[in-house]
Amino acid sequence: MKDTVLSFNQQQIDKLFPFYLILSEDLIICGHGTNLQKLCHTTIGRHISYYFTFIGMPPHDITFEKMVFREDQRLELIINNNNPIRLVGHFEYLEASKQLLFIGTPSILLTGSANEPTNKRSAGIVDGDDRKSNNTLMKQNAPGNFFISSGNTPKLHDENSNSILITDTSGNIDWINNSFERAIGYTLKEVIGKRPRQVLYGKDSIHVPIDYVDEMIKRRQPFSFENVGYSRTQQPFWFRATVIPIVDQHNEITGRLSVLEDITEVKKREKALVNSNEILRSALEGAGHGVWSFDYVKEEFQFSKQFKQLIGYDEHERFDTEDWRNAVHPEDLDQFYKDILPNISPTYPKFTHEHRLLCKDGQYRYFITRANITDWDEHNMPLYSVGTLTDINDSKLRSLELRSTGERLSSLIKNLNSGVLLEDENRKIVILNEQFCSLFSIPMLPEDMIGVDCSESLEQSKYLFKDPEHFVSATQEILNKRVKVIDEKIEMADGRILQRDYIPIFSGNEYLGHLWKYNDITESVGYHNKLLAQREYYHNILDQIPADIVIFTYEHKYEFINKTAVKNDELRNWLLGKNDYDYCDRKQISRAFADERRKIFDQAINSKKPQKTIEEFTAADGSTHFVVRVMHPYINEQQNIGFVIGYGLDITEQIKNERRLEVEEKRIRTLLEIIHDGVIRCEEDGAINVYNNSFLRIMEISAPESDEKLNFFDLLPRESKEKLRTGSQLVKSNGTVQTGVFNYTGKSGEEKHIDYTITGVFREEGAAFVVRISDITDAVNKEKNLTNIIEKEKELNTSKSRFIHITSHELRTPLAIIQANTEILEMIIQNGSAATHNLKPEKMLDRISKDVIIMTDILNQLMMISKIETGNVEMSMEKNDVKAFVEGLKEDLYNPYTDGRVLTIEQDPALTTLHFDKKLLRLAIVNIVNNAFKYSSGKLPPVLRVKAVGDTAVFEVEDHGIGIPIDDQNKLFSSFFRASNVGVIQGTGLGLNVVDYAVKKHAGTVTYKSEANIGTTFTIAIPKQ
Amino acid sequence: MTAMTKEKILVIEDERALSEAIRLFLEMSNFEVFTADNGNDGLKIINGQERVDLIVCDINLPDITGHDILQIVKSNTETSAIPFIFLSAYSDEKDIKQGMSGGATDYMTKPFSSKELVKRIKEHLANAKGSSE
Repeated sequence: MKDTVLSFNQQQIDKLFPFYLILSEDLIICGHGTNLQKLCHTTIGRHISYYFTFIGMPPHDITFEKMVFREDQRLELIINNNNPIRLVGHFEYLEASKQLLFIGTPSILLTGSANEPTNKRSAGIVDGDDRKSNNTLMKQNAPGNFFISSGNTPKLHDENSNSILITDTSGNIDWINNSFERAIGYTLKEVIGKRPRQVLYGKDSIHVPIDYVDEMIKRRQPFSFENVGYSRTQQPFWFRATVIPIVDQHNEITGRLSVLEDITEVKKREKALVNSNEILRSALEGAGHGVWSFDYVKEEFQFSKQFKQLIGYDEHERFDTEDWRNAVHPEDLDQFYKDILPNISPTYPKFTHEHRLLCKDGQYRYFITRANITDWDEHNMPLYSVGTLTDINDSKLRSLELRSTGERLSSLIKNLNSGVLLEDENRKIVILNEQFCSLFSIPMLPEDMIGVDCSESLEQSKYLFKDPEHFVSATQEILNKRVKVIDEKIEMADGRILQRDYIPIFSGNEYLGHLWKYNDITESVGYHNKLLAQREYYHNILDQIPADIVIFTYEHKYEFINKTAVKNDELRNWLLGKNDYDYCDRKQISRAFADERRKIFDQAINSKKPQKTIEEFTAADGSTHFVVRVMHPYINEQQNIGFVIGYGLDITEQIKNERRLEVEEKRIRTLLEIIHDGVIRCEEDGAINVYNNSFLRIMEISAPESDEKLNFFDLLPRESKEKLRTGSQLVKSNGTVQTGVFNYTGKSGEEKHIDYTITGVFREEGAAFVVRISDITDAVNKEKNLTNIIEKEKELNTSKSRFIHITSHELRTPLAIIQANTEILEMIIQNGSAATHNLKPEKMLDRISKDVIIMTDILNQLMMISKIETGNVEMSMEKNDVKAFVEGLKEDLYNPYTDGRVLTIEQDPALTTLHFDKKLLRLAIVNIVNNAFKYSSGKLPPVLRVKAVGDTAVFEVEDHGIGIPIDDQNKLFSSFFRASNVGVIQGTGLGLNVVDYAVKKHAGTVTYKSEANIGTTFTIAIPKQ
Repeated sequence: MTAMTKEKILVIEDERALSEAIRLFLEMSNFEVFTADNGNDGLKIINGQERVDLIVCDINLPDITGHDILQIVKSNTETSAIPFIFLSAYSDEKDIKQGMSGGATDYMTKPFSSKELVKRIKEHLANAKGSSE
């Protein structure tokens, strides 16, 4: 054989398909099966048309491309040497080698060939069925069953194929096809080399005369004969054998091809057949077949009652020729006329025809008719025929279905992404696809694998798998069990992961084979594992988060629960796929809890927005916890809810803090109301948003209406407003605290002094101020008073000092006089010169005494002042002689006064006695008289008038002096009306406070009038009692 | 000056009793004494016919103060050399300083020793004589 792509398995192919051809793109033969070569004498390198004619294909269709893409791959080849053998099979395109493979089976067409057998009877029957129902799916006679069998039981009269036998020149069996194998029950192995008669013949077999045989063969003529054969099980059957000598190009016989056809039935029928319509018919009828007869002259059918029944008609219902014509499917009728009728002749009077008939129920059914044209005229035109009708609807439909299914299946299998392997019941490969081959790195084409025994290959291929022995045993177990196994994971040694399905195929109870389907899921497993790992990773994270997180499906079933949500592993796992109601039931708690949850879940679903609610619950330890529960729907790309995340956040602390803050706020509020100070909080512009009652009270305003807003700055008078505005700005800019006092006059009209403190509150929204105010008016007033008092004190002290100063000053003069006079006396005594100077020492002494008195008076005044201050004055009111008092006064001090003038006294005789304190009154009068003298220097001496005026004693001192200086008058007034304090009027030593005091003590009054340059008159009036 | 001519002392003092006592003592000490009980009278005497050799002046006078009188005396070249002794009840250092700053020759506070007064008068007269000669 020429070297072809299939060279490495040439033998195998040859064994399987001895009638194969391989054609190149030019339709040149580059390979042929042994037997084909023997039969057709083909040689490599010739064009196919050299040897064969294609039936059913016009010449222009015979191109490589046309043949590759031909839908119907069936072909019939006539061997060009007038050999009645035809090759029927189909073409496969071998993509790998770009060749066409033809697998064929020999078939006989005995009519119209040159070597017509003389024995009509032994004329073979065209295997019309073979032509029509040639298995387009698979190579004919492929080893191993086609898994969808047509339901035929292996009989010699298998409609789908002839039994074929090839013998060599010696007459020994060289090859038998499957049908033959099936028919006789022997395998090729068993019969090869034997003589056919050894295999076939039995008790009743006729021995065909060898001479006849030899003769025919010698003549290179096919002949046929009928005989009885026996199967392996000694089942007898009639067969017609058609023997065709196989010659090579030299016309040497190389062998014999015999086609055997089971004619048992036919034989039976023939026996029963009598050249009479009725007998035939009734015989056949008796046999239970639908029978018909046709008169070609009359062109009339006659149908048996079974016939009618077969198509649904009653025995007595009319069904005639016309009906038949209408009932037969037009296509089938056409086919009869086209294909069958032309081939009928007296030599070949029998035919079978598959056709559809429209039954009474309106449905077409498939039937087969086997007919025999029994009578012919002299022109060899048919006169009469008779036949049987058999309902083959089911099997036909099935086979049609099977064919189409098979076709579908074939292309399906080819196109599957999975690797598919179909084995027959003997584990021989029926079909597999490229994907399968590539999965297992089988270097062969799928087509080439057909027929291979998988049980061997299983053993050989086990090392492809990670665990070889396990693979083998598992596979075997599956095969033994013959039960569907899906999604079995197989690990390959190279790390790939395959998914395998095993599907057993049964027809009824009969095991026909099984399907293995493999998918490489390495990647998806990889992805799957990655996904799992990822999922686990995220689940871990979710478990770590210290909040309870769950994921619900759209139907509110738990899809994921993290550890925080449910700590108990068992419970958590149980909950997956369940909902809250299940939980409640399990925990035997009220469903209200689940209702609540469902409510917000539904809200979330409906609104497609997160929903939250606050749950309050009591923990195991009795403490109250608050949890914000959120249902958060996840919206996917299609805007649908993918799932819902539910989580809870413990906000107990937060709530506690809020509550605490509320309490604090309340406290602060209360505090604000209690304190005496006014407190407000206001915006930068002064708008008050918090105030207390004290504020209102201090500012003397009432609480604003609910929509009113007070403005602090607007309440203030202008200067205060500016002051506070400025202050508040400083607070804002420096962050310091501003304090101060502003004046304010409220509704009451009283001017108040308000102490304030401004502090700033800085928030994001801007600055606000807190202002504290308190009314310090009283304090201020007190201070003022105090200041006044202090001023007075100061003045007093100053005055006192001055008084002392002046008094000491005043004392000096009398002292100086005493001193001088003393020294004069001294000198007189020393010098004894009194006479010289006409000095009278008595005068000196007298002067001294007087000055002592003066001094004493001054000191007494001082003492009096002190006593007045300390309140230690003791009065001794006595009845005294007024005249004597006044005279004594004069004598002491004013006769003369230091400036030489003498006081004039005018005494009212009516006023003789008076109740008074001598010392005090003396002081008073002395003061006034002294002043009179002082302010009238150089003028007439002052006058002291003592008189009684009604109930009062009046002491009036008048001088003719300059009048009291205005300054002193003012001071006089002020000291006068100040009343309580001591204070010597500067420069004058008036000591009117003493006068005032003394007079007051006598329940009297002191008044004066003074005129500049005229004089002053002081009047003391004392009530007599 | 002859032994017969007594030196003339002017005493300006408003307290009559005191000025009398001083006069007596000074006369007993062989001085000729003139008195005035107010400033203007005193000035009249100073600017009068009698040439005064020394002035004793109280600060506290009814019309003008002793300081004023001192000023006037000092401003007159005829009288500026006359020794001027203040006699006052004001005894503060401040007062003394003030008095002396005006150009007074001496300052004595009341009460004073007449003997001392005479001593100082004699002293200042001698000085004045000395300087003029």
